[in-house]
Formats: sequence, C-alpha cells, structure tokens
Amino acid sequence: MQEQDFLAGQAFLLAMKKRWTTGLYSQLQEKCHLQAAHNGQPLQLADIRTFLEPDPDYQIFAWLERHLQKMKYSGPYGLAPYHRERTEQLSAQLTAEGAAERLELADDFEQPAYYQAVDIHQQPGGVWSEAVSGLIYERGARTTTPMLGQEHRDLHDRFAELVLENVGQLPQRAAILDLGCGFGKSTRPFWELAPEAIITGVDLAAPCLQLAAAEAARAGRQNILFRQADARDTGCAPESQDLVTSTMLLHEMPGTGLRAMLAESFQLLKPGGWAVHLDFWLLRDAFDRFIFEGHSQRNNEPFMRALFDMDVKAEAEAVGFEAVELTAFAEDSNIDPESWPFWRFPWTVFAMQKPA
Amino acid sequence: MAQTGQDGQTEQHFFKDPVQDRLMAVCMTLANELWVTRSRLMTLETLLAEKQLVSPDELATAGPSTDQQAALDNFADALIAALNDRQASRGAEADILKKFS
Ligand SMILES: C[S@@+](CC[C@H](N)C(=O)[O-])C[C@H]1O[C@@H](n2cnc3c(N)ncnc32)[C@H](O)[C@@H]1O
Repeated sequence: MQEQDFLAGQAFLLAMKKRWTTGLYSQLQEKCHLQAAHNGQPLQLADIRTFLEPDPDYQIFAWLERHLQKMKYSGPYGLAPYHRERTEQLSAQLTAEGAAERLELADDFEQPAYYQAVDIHQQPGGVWSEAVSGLIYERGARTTTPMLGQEHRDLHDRFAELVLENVGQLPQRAAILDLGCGFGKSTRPFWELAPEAIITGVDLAAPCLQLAAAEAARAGRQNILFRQADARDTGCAPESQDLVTSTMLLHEMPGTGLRAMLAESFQLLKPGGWAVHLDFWLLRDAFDRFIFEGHSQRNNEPFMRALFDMDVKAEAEAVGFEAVELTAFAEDSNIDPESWPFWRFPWTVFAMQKPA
Repeated sequence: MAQTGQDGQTEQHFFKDPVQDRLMAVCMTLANELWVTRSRLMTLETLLAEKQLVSPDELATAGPSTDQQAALDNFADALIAALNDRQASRGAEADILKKFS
C-alpha cells in the first residue's frame, strides 16, 4: 500500500466519521426529542429501543459506526495492513537510546482471558499481540475523538492538570502510577507537569509499553518506568504511591476486574493518597444510554455496557475509599458536557481518597 | 460468503435483510477507492499544471479519444450486464435429469 493512498483512504474515513458525529447523530437525537414532546414525557430506554431500532436513519448510523471503524483498521487502506507491511522499518520507533532502562517486560507474561477474548476497538489482534500493535493503536487513537483534531492531546493534558490541581500538595518526588497506560499518552502530561515525580506506567500490552518507553527516552525523561503488569495486581509495594490514575481503563475490564483494581490501588496508596480515574460513565439521559450501549457492542468494547450498570461509587467505598466523587469532564474548553449537540464520549472523572 | 472474524464469526447486522448490510459494505469500499483515486488524480493534475506540462484549460476541455470513449462504453456495458440477471454460461435446464437419465 502506497503512503499517499493510505493517507487518502484514512482521510475519507475520518471525513465520514465527522459527518456521522455531527449530522447523523444529531438527527437521531432530534427525532427522540420530537417523539418525547409528542408523548408529553421523556423517553425511557425501552421506548427508545422500540422507536429507533426499526428506523432506517438509526440503522445507517449504527452500520456506519461499526464499519467505519472496521475499515479504519482492516479495510484496504486500514491501519493493520499498512503497519504490518512496514513492520521491519517501523520497529525503529519502538527503540531509542535509554529506552531499555525505562522498560520492564515480564517473561512469559500470561494475558488475562477476558483480554484475549475480544479484539478491543476492532483492532485485529488487540493492542497487544503483534510487534506493531502499539503503533497501530497510537495511529488509531489520533482520530478516536474526531472533533478534537489529530492530536487529541488536549484531553489528556486537561485531565492531568485537573488531577494535579485537585489532589492538593504532592511531595516533590511524588510517586505517581498510571494504570493501563497504553503507549503512554495518558502518562506523558503527568511527566511533563510534575517533572520531579517518580512515575510508573503499567499495562498488559508489551508493544504499547515499548513505544511509551521509547518516547520517554527520546524526551530524556528520567525517573520513569513502563512495566508490564496487570492493574489488578501491579507488583507495586503497599503504601508506595502518592497518586494513582488511569485513563480509559475502567471500561476495558469486567466488573470483577474493576473491583480488584480498586482494591489494589487502595492498598498501594499511601494514607491520604488519591486515586483519580478518567472514563465513561455519567450519561445525560436514556438517549445517551442507548447510544453508548450500542457503541459498546459495535466497537467491541463489551465491558463498557457493564460499567454503566455498576455503582462505581459504592464499589470504591466498599474497598475503603472516601470522598468518592464522580463528575462530568469537558475534554475541550469549548465543550459543555450537558449541552454539547454532537456525539461525544460521556467523559467522567472518578476521584477517591484513601483515609489519612 | 459471510464476512468472518478470525474464528469464523459472522459480522453484526443492522438492516432487516443482512444482504443490505453487505451491499452497504460494497458501496462504502467503492467510495473509499473513489476518494483515493480522486486524491491521486488531483495531485497528478496539480503537478502537471505546476510543471507546465498541461494547462488547467487543456484538462478542462480535453475529452476522451475514440479509443478511450470505447473503453468507457465497455465499462458501462459491463455494469449493465452485471445487473441483467442472465447466466453467462449455459446452465442446466430444470428438466435436464428427465432428458438425460
Ligand atoms: C483505551 S486504552 C487507554 C490507554 C491510555 N491510558 C491512554 O489514555 O491512551 C486502555 C488500556 O488498558 C490496558 N488494560 C486493559 N486491561 C488491563 C489490565 N487488567 N491491567 C493493565 N492494563 C490493562 C490496555 O492494554 C490498554 O492499553
């Protein structure tokens, strides 16, 4: 596949996705509003299912959500064939001088069964099974939120800023742990904003961790380690961390995994330490719920739907956390989560403190 | 043939008739190809004009030659032929086993 054809092929998919995000989505939302006005009461989830599922506009919306993503990864100009063809030359991006000191991969690491059972986001082979999986994921993530443009960095920066502003004074050499750090996109703003901190990123996916370590090495960041480990059992010492964070991890684990991760983070935090997670949870209404249950199914993210059903606050309190708060998060300064008219993830901050 | 995942899973369906799901996939794949082809063409035309090998006016007014027109006509014929619901080889008539037992 020629470079220019790959770029054009992907540009087409993004152009379609933008129109889907704005036009098609808003059209469905408007239909539901009109129907609710006609009924004289808000629609319940079951009403929306009955109303929208047979509707051709909804069927096309749903088809496009599934297939634009499928084409993005697996189509003739897909990320998977593009990267696979270039495995050898792209491998250079996974190494850098000093990367090895920032990387700890486990020998014979056994991936959890839930993780192997589905190719998350429709990325063939998941984000973990091939040398180029991390690069494929990185490239794909640039257009996950089409309204935010290519960099999609704002979101992670804004979250890290919010966290560091709200957890109070951290010690200068604070220990910060990023669970499910992927290729380090969520870790980077923490190492940029807290330059003295000692930072650990853990993830299951070796190809993502390699990319994260290589980027940190290229940036000359010291005191950082990307380690292959399960967020449910990180291997970090009890009471060793000042701050635990994660971005888009919660919805990628089954409920039992989430409970185990909460318990693990509780025990490895120092007394008074904070855990702050960013994920998808607060839904405005039954329409949002319908759209995101569908997204969960269509985008191969089965545990997202289960997360909506969990009482995360109660789960966090059950392992001992206090001051548990869930708040809507604006991924961009232009966006008001309550009234944004286009498709967007229901970003939610989950903040919780270990008693001092 | 059903679209299959790595272990033979059938694709999700969204329309009443799953054939429509597949037709949509064909349309979208073609649209993707068309976008890629048009992108290449735009690049090529821009370069040709920049290097003054061909002027934009020439591109706008040049039509296909007789041979090129014939190729386009063949393309149109092939498209219609694909829609005409006719077999392209001789098939067995329904009573063939009666005739030749
Ligand atoms: C959607 S990605 C987010 C990556 C990164 N935090 C970011 O914001 O770009 C979720 C990550 O969680 C990882 N993951 C899933 N289950 C995990 C587990 N049990 N332990 C550690 N990482 C896990 C996946 O490998 C993936 O890299």
